[in-house]
Amino acid sequence: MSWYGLFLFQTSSWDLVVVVKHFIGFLAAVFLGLFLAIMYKDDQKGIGGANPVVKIFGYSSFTSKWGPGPKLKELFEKNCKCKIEFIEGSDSGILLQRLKIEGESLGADLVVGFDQFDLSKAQNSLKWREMTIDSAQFEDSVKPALINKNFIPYDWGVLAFNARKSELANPPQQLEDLLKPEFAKKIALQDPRTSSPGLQLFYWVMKTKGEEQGTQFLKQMITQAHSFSPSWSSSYGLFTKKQASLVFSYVTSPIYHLIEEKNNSYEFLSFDVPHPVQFEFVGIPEFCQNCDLAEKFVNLMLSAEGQKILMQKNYMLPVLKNVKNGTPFADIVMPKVMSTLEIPTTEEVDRWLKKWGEIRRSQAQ
Amino acid sequence: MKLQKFLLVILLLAPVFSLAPFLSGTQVDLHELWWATKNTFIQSFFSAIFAIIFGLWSAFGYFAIHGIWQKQIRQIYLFLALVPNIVPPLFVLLAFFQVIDPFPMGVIGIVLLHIFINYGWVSVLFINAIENKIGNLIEVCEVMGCSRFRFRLQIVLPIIFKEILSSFLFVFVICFTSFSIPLIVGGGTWTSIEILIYEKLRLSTDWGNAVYLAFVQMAIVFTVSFILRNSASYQIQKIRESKLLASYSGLFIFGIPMVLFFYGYFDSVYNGIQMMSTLYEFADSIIIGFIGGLLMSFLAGMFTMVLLLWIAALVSESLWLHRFLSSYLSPSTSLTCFVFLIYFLPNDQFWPLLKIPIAFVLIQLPSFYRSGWGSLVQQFNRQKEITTVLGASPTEYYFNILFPQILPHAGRISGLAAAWMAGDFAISKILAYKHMSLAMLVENLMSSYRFNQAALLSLGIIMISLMQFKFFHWSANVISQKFKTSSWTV
Repeated sequence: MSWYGLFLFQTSSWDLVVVVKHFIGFLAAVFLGLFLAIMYKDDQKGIGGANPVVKIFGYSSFTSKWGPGPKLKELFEKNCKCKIEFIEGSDSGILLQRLKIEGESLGADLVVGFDQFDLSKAQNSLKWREMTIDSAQFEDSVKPALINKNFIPYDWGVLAFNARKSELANPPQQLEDLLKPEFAKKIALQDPRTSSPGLQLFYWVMKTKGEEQGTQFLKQMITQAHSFSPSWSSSYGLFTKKQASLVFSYVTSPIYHLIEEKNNSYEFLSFDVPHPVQFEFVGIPEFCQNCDLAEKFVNLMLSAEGQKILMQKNYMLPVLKNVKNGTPFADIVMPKVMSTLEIPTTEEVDRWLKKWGEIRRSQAQ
Repeated sequence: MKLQKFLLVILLLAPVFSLAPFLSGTQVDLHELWWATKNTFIQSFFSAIFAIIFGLWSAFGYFAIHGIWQKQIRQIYLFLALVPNIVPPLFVLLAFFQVIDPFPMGVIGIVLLHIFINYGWVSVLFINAIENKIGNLIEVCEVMGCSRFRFRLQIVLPIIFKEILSSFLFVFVICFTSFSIPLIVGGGTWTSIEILIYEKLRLSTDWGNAVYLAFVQMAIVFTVSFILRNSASYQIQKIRESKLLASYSGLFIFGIPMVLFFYGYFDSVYNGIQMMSTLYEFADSIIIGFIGGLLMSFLAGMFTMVLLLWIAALVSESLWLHRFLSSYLSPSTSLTCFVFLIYFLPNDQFWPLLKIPIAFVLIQLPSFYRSGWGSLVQQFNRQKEITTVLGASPTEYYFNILFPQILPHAGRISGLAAAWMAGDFAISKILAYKHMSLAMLVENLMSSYRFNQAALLSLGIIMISLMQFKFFHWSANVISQKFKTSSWTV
C-alpha cells in the first residue's frame, strides 16, 4: 500500500466530515495566505526594485509598534527613496550574538541599542565605521559619551530608585538607607548578569563605595532586597503590582505613568551621591551595504524631530538641547549624575560579574 | 527501518554534534559547577516530589466531580490544570506574590511555584492513568468492601506506580532546566545550571563553558532517567464512576491554588481591560501576533504528531531506541536555539515560523516520550509479532492496527505541545527577527511598562492554547475512528 493510501478512505459515511475538513482547510489556507501577505509585505517592497533596503538591527522595545522605530522609519522613508527593515533581537546581548552570526550575510546596515557596558564587546566582535554627524547641539551631560567615533549616543537615562509618593514615610536618600529594616524585602532589583539596569546598580555601588565596602553593601542587599529579577520588566512589574515599594529604574519612569496612565503618584528618589547614567548607542558595522543611508538615519535620530520621537516613545532623555522644552521631561529635577563616562572593557565586565557571583555564593552558603 | 532509526537519532542529536567542537580548551570552575548542580538538584527533586503528591491528590479530586454538569466541570478542570503551564511565568509569579505576602523567596519559593505550575497537568496524567488502568478492579474492591484509603494505597498506587515514576521524571527534568523562576524567586542567591549556561552564553560569550554545562545537565538527566527507566505503561480499559476514587479534599487541593492564581491574574487582566483603548493603535500587531501564534502552535502540534507516530513505528521493535529516547535530554534551550540560529535554515522571511516550532518540538520531544508515550508504544510489541505471523505487512500493521489505537494519545500530547508553543517566548526571542506571535508581543509589552495590557493580551494566548488542544484532541479522535471504521484502498 502506498502512503497516499492514508487519504483514500472509503468515505460514504464520512461525507459531512470531509466537507467540514475541506472547509477548515480552505479557511486555514486563506488565513495563512493573509497572514504571510501582511507579515511580509514590508519585506517584499523594494526587493527587486530600484529602492535599496536599509537593514537595522535593534532590540524589541525599539522596533515594536509602540517603540520609536516605526515612527522613525515612516519619517525616513518619506525622503530617502529606500525602505527600512528592522531585524529584532530581544535585548542587546542577543542582538550582538545575532549580529555576529548573520549580520554580514543579512547585510546589517545599522545597529541600535548598545549601552556603555556592551560597547567594548561590540568593538571586539566586529569592525565599525566612523560616523560623521551633522552639527548638533548635544546636552552637556552627553558630551562624555561622544568620545567614540564608532558609536554615537542617541538617548540617555539617569537611573534612580522609584517609589509611590504616599507609600514611604521616610524615603531613602542615600544608598545606606536602603539597608534600613523598614525597607526589608521591599526593594525590587535586577540581576546584573541578565539585566542592564542591574549591572548599572552594581557599578553604582562599586564606584560610590569602593570595591571592599561595595561588596559588603551588596552582600547585605542580597538578603535585604525583595528579589533580583532577570529583567527590568520583571522587577518593574513587581513594583507596579505593589509587591515592592522601591524599584531601581529611570528618572523618566514616573513620566510614563503620568502621560499614559494620567497617574501622578510615582516619583524617583534623588540620592546624595551622583547617580549612574545609561547611554544608548547606535553604530554602523564595517560590512554595511547601504552605509550612507544608514548614516542619514543616524542623523535623523539625532535631529530635533527624531529626538522627540525617541524621547516620547522610549521614555528616555534626548541627547540634544531644547528638545524636551515644553514637555513633562523638562520638569524633571535632575539629580546629581556621574560626570565621567567609563566604558569598561569586556574583561572588566566579566570581572564584575564574577565578583557578583562570589557575593551571591557567599550569601547562599 | 535501520536507516530511519539512524535518522531519528541524528535529528535529535544534531544540536549536540553541532555544539561539541566548542568544548575544546574549556576551563571549568568546578566549585561553581558543584554549587549550581547541587542547587539544581535540590530545586528539581523537591519540586517533582511535591508536584506528584499534589497532582495525585488533585486527580482523586477530579473523580469527585459528579452531577448533571459533570462533563462540563471536568472539562473546565482539565483546562484549568493546563493554564499555569501556558501563561508566561511572570504572571504566575505576580499572581502569587499578590496573595502570598510576604512570599518566601529562595528555594522554598522556587519549589512552591514549580509545584503550582506542574501539579495541574501532572494530575491530568494521573487521571488518564487511573482511567486507563484500574479497569474492573474498582468493582471487585467495592464488592469486597474495600475502604477508600485502602483502595488508593494498596490498589491504585501500586498499579500506577510506573506513571508516578515517569511523571516524577518529567517534572524533575522540567524543573532541572527551569530558568525564569529560579532567577526571580531565587532572591539573588540562587544559581542553577540553566542560569549558569545562559550567563556564560549571553554575557561572557563563553561557548565552551556553556556547552560543558549543558553536557553535565544532559548527563545528570540521563542518569536519573536510567535509574527510573521503568516508565509508564497503559492498559486501555475504561473505568466506571466510583466513590472509591472520589476525594473532596483532592478537589480542594486542586482548587485553592487555582483560585489564588486566577484572582491575582484576573486583577491584572481587569486593569488591562480598563486600559484597553491604549491597545487600539496596535490592533494590526495583535492580529498578526494572534495568527502567528496560531500558526506556530499548529505547526508545533503537527510536528509533534508526525514525530510521535514515526517514533511509534520505529520503537515498537527496538529496545535500544526506546532506552535512548527515555534517557535523552536535548541541550539547554538557549544553546539549542543558537544552534538553530547558526546552522539550520535561513533566519529571515518566513523561515523562523518553521524554525521556532521545530526547535520547540526537538527540545520537548524527549520529555513527551518519557511522559508515557514510550511505554505506550512498547505495549504493542506483542501485537506486531502476532500480525507479522498472520502475514500482515508492516504498513498494514501501522495503519490498521497501531495508529488507530495510539492516535488519541498522540492527539493529546500534540495538543499539549501546541498549547505550550502558544505561550513560548524563550525560543522565539532568540530565533525570531520580528514579532511573530502573541507571546512575543506580551513579553514586549511587559518590557515597555505596559504590564496590564500584556496581562489582557495573555488571554489570547490561553485562547490559542485551548483551540489548539481541542483541535488536536478532536482531530486525532476523528481520524482514529476513521481508521477503525474504514478499510484501506491499497
